[in-house]
Amino acid sequence: MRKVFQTWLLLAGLATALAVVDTAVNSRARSLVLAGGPPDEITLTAARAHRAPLLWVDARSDAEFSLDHIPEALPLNGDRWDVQVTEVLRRWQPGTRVIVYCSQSGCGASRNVAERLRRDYRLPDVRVLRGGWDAWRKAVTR
Amino acid sequence: MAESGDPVKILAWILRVAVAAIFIAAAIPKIADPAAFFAAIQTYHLIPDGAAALFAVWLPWLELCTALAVFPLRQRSGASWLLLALTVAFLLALGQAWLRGLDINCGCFGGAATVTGAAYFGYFLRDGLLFAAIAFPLWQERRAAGSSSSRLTPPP
Repeated sequence: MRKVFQTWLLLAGLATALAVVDTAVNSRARSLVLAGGPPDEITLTAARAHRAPLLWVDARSDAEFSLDHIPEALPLNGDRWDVQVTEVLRRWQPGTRVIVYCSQSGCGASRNVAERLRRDYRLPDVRVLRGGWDAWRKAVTR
Repeated sequence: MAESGDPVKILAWILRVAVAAIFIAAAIPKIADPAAFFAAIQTYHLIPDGAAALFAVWLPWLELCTALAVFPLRQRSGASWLLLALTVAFLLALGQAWLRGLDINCGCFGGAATVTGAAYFGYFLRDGLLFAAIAFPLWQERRAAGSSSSRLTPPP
C-alpha cells in the first residue's frame, strides 16, 4: 500500500510540475489560471464599463426569456436558432461587443452560443457573462 | 510482457494498453484547450471557478502521466489504482449531477458532449466498463502474485 501512495505522490508531483510549465508557456492555460476563468468571460462590472456598443444575447429558453431578461437583450437558443440569429445579426454593427448569458455560472448554453457566433458568423468580439442571469439579477436587486 | 499461452495475462495486457490509450486520448484535447475543459467542469457545479481553473490545467496532465505510468513495472500497480480512483471520482461527479438534474457537459474527451436525462445511462455504462477494464489487470496481478508466493511456501 505504501508503494501505491508513493506512486500517487510521484504522479501528482509530476502532473503539478507539467501543469506549471504549461501555464508558463501556454497562453491559453495562463490566462485561464490568472483570470480564474476563460479569457472570453467578462464580469458584469467590466461589461458595464465597456464604452463601445453592447449587444446582450440571452441563451436561456424562450420561456425563461419571456419571464424576464436583461433590457434590450435578444433571445438566441437552439430551439429557434435560425429565426433568432437573423435578428441578432440585424442588430449587430461593426465594433459592437456581443455578451451572451445563460442562467448561471456553468450553465453551458452561453458558451455554446458564443462559440457558434464566433465560428459560424465570424463575429469578432463575443464574450460570455460570468455568473449569467443570476449575476445580473443579484446586481440589480442589491 | 505477458507470458505466451496464458490468455488471462494477455487479456490483462490488452486491457492495460486500451485503458492507457483512452486516458491519453482524453488528456490531449483537454491540455490543448483548457478553457473548454474549464467550461465543462463548471457545468458539474462542484467547485468554485478559481479552483476549477486550476483543476482544468492540472487534471489532464495527471491523466496523461498516470496513463503512461501503467507501463513501467515499478509504477504499474500505483498508477492502475490511481486510474481506478479517478474513474470512481468521475462516476461520483456524474452521479451527483444526475441526482441534481443538471444538464452537464461531460468534458470527458475535451469536446462539448452534452449529458442530460437518459443520456446519463450511457455515460454510467461507459465509465462502469472503464472501471472493469482497469480492475481486471489489477485482479490478475494479485492473483499471479498470490500463486507465486504460495509456490515459494515450503511444505509443512
